[in-house]
Amino acid sequence: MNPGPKGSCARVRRFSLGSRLRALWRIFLLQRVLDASGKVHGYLPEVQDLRRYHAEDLARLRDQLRIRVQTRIAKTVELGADYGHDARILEEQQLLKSIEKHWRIASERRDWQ
Amino acid sequence: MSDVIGSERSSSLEAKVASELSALVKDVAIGAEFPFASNAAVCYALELFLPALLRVRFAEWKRESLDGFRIASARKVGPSAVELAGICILISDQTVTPFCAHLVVSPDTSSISAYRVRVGEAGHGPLGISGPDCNSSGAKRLLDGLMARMESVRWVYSVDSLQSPGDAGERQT
Repeated sequence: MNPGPKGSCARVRRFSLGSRLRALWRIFLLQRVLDASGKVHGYLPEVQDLRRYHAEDLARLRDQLRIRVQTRIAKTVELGADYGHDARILEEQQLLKSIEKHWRIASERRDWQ
Repeated sequence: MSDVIGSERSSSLEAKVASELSALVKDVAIGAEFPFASNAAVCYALELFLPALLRVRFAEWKRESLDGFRIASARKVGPSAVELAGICILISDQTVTPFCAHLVVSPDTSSISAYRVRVGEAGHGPLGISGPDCNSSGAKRLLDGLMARMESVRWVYSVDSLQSPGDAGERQT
């Protein structure tokens, strides 16, 4: 039996259409959150949507959020606060906590997709 | 000008904006454009400084702020004056709206001696100036087409240093 060519074409055939669509959906969700400069802009994901992310994507989002929250706090200390930025920091901190909790629970269950 | 905003914190914010802008255009010829990255050090200070100017005259800006800029044009328009135009992200709903800021840095680069800030076109959202989502193709289109129609933009919020602090803000509709 001909094993077929090695490389991406051979690998793509092993995935179903559904799994490829799910992967695209995860990338789409992630791109809505992280912009080209790495800043976290746009609507933040809902906590109930976190399970839709691939582990690697979620880890990337978590790492970006950690950096972004720290940066925002440092800038607030340096330049002062305002209502809008304070609210955004709070939103991002809450999301970060939710991701860390989701990550912990999912790791214990080992149920990453 | 820091008296207009009215606090010690605003004064340091203004000094930061003035010194960063001054350093940015130090070797730029008058009339020339200069590179202005969205992650430039001055951006975060401007995110706080421009809303602070608007808050002096527009009470609704007390609960609004800016969360980032995409610059369509950054030009040195005088020995110590810069004009920035592009789109900015409204922090409350993470949508974008156009802006144009003309800022004149004082000779000792410690303050902004004159300014004219215009923000927003009629749209939706809390202030009625929200445009497309900040990560959308609509935002890119807004940015790409802004300079071509800059003269015809109907700005909703406009403040400048010629207005006295006591003037009530007039929101254009």
